[in-house]
Amino acid sequence: MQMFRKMGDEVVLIYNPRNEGVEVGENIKILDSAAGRGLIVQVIEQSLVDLTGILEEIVRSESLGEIEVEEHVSSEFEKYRLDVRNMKFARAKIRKEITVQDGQENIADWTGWVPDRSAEATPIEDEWLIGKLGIAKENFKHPIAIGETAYTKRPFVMSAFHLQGITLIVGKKGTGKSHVAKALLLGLIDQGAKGIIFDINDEYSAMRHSEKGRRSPYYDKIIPLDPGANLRFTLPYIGSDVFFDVIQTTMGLPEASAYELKNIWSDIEKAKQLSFTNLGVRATDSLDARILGAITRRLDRMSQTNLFVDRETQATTLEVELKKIEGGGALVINLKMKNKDTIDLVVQTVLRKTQELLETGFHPLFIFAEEAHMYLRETNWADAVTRMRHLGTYQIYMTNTPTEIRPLVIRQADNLFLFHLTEFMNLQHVTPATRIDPETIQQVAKALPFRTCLAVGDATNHYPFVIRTVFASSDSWKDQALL
Amino acid sequence: MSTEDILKKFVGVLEDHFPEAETFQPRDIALDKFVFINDEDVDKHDELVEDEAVEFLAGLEESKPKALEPDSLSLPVSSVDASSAQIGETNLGVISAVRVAVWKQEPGKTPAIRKYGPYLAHFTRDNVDFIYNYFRHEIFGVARAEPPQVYKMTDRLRNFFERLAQRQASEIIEKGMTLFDGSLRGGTVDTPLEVLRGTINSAHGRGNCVVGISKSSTLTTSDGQKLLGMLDEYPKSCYRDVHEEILGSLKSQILGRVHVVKFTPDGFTFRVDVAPAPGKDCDKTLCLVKSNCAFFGGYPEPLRAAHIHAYFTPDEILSLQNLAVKKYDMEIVRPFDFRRCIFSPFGG
Repeated sequence: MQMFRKMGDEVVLIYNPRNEGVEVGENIKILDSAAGRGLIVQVIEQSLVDLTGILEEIVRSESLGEIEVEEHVSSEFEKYRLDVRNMKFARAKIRKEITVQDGQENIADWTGWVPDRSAEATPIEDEWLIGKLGIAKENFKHPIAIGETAYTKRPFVMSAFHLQGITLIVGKKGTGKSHVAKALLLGLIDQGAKGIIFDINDEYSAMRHSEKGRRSPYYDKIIPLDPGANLRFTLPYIGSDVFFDVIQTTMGLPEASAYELKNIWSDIEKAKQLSFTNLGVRATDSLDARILGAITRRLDRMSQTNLFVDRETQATTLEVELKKIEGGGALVINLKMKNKDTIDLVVQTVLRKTQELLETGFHPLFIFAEEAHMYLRETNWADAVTRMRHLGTYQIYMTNTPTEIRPLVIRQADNLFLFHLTEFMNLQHVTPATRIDPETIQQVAKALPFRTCLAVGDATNHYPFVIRTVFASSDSWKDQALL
Repeated sequence: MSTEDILKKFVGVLEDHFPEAETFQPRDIALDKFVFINDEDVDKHDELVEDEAVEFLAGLEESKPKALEPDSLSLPVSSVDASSAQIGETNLGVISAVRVAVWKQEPGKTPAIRKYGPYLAHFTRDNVDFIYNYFRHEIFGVARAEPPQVYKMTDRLRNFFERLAQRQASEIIEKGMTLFDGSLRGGTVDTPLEVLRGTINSAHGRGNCVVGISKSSTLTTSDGQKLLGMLDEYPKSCYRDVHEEILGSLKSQILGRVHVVKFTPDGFTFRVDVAPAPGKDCDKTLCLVKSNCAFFGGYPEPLRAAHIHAYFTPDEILSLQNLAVKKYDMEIVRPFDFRRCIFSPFGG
């Protein structure tokens, strides 16, 4: 492999695929031993070298139509001809500069220096690079194993500390987003952290069991909450803000009707008789028919969600559920097949209660939100990156439609796990989350195989790594839990 | 040994006489430009002009051309072209490559192309005599002769291979016609008259006509007029037999009759030497060429196809250079342009 050309922050490497190979995302060291300097480059594209003679040969054979060709040529020549025809080039981004002092290689930001063509280009052992970037397991107090580097297959570990912000996991359906999200969740639980999962596909509760149906080590740490079944609220717990926000915004209750209902709410609350049943009865007794119709239709819809109970003994509170996972765990709220009213009431209640808890000094929480655009409102997105993040609500968003994530969130993102994506708009949308060049995102994302992602952000010291989300054999029980 | 066996196995002779060199300076090739490589045009340029040049009596313009009408008879057609390229220099001499392509088309059958080579040869002062006279004496059976200078051997080898391939092309069909790239003139610096005569006799023995078509012929009258333009004013396929007007002793070296032919109304005009098969005449032969070949720019497609399969592309030259370096374990010396070094950037 040899360096052929440098253009801007890119170099072009030429190599013979019969003797050596590189992959998109792989890191290459180009070391000029005489100068004691070098570069670390990362392959973002590979292609065949376009030689005009090869074009001629292809056109020659294709244009002559059907003819019988009999060639008397040495097999040695054929081998060398194929080598030339199949020569490849790798387009690589310059990521870091190497300086060699007293035999010790150190890396730093690139200064613009380039080696000459005699420099030796060799693939980098990821372990070496991880060590140089200061993101090796031994650097972390709270390590989370999320897989292995794609090419030299070294364990890739990140710090739970680096998840204290906004993390995006994006990629096409079925590429492995949930897999890495679950790895992060289990890692956080292992480190004693608490999480709340808005589980739109009802897949996180399954981690309580192993593949063979036995209880996994996380059985008691993952608490499934099913709205309308074991997740039900009293009106005092939900509070008037959330209740009226949902009934007006989602259910479209007119302002005049809401005003009347608020008066009733206030009256029965003062009388310490606030309950869903009482609210309905008082509304029926005291309101005129025009307003009553609008309110009762909506209360009936709320009733059908089965989310409301009058007695506290039948109700769920976030505080009680979080108490159950004191040493680390997750509340998995199943939103699969739930109607819009239910999802809205549950999500808004949980977010509001979370905020209240954190304002009273509760421990930070990690919120996992899959396809969040389906249930978060504009105000929620804005809150997420401003107040809630600073209060200690750390967020992990997973989506296959990244354009639905608000630009505000993208710009504030601290980590990105990018799985296979092809749409230009999607890739362009997530690029600001990475703080690296758009070409890398555009080229690498298209070349990522199943369960392989580009990870970049605080977790990688802002160096883009291609990682496969699999686990070492010692952690195979985790893998089973993830299935 | 059949002609085809010689074509296939001569690589062994070249390998046996491939002297070991220490260094190899590869030819500079442009991999980024559309270019075909056949050094014949360069190596043989002066000789080619001389071989193909024919001088005629003055006053030829007064005779009228004949219309070229296609004949209804379908015949097998074969054609030949060869390419050569010097791929680099060693500390002992030059390394070259040759390739020939033989085209065959028969009525109702799929056309076929046979390619021989590329074959590598290393010419040094010590082996040119052997290789040159091996061809002359062992293969073509003519008297030994003084070999040319080393740098001329690339083209001589190409010529020998081309003559062999022409012989093969005339043997793989019967009662058809064989098209050669170039004139039917023998007794030139590289082609003994006996060699060409042997090939034509072999073709005639199988009932084949031989037609030589020159792309770069210089036909002039004694007062300096160029004859290839003489058919330009006729907007149809036509030809003129100009053989009788050839001046001097040259006529006896041409083993056919010389014509000026425009095969297609909008095509170029070529010098065409015709050696018809026994029982056929030149007029009939030209009509058969017209009816049995497709044309591109007035040039017969069988010759064009042979050329397309014979010439070298830059990546092939690079592959041959790699093969030579690895197989014969030579140290590469980078091409060095002395002119550029001392004059650049001022006209270097």
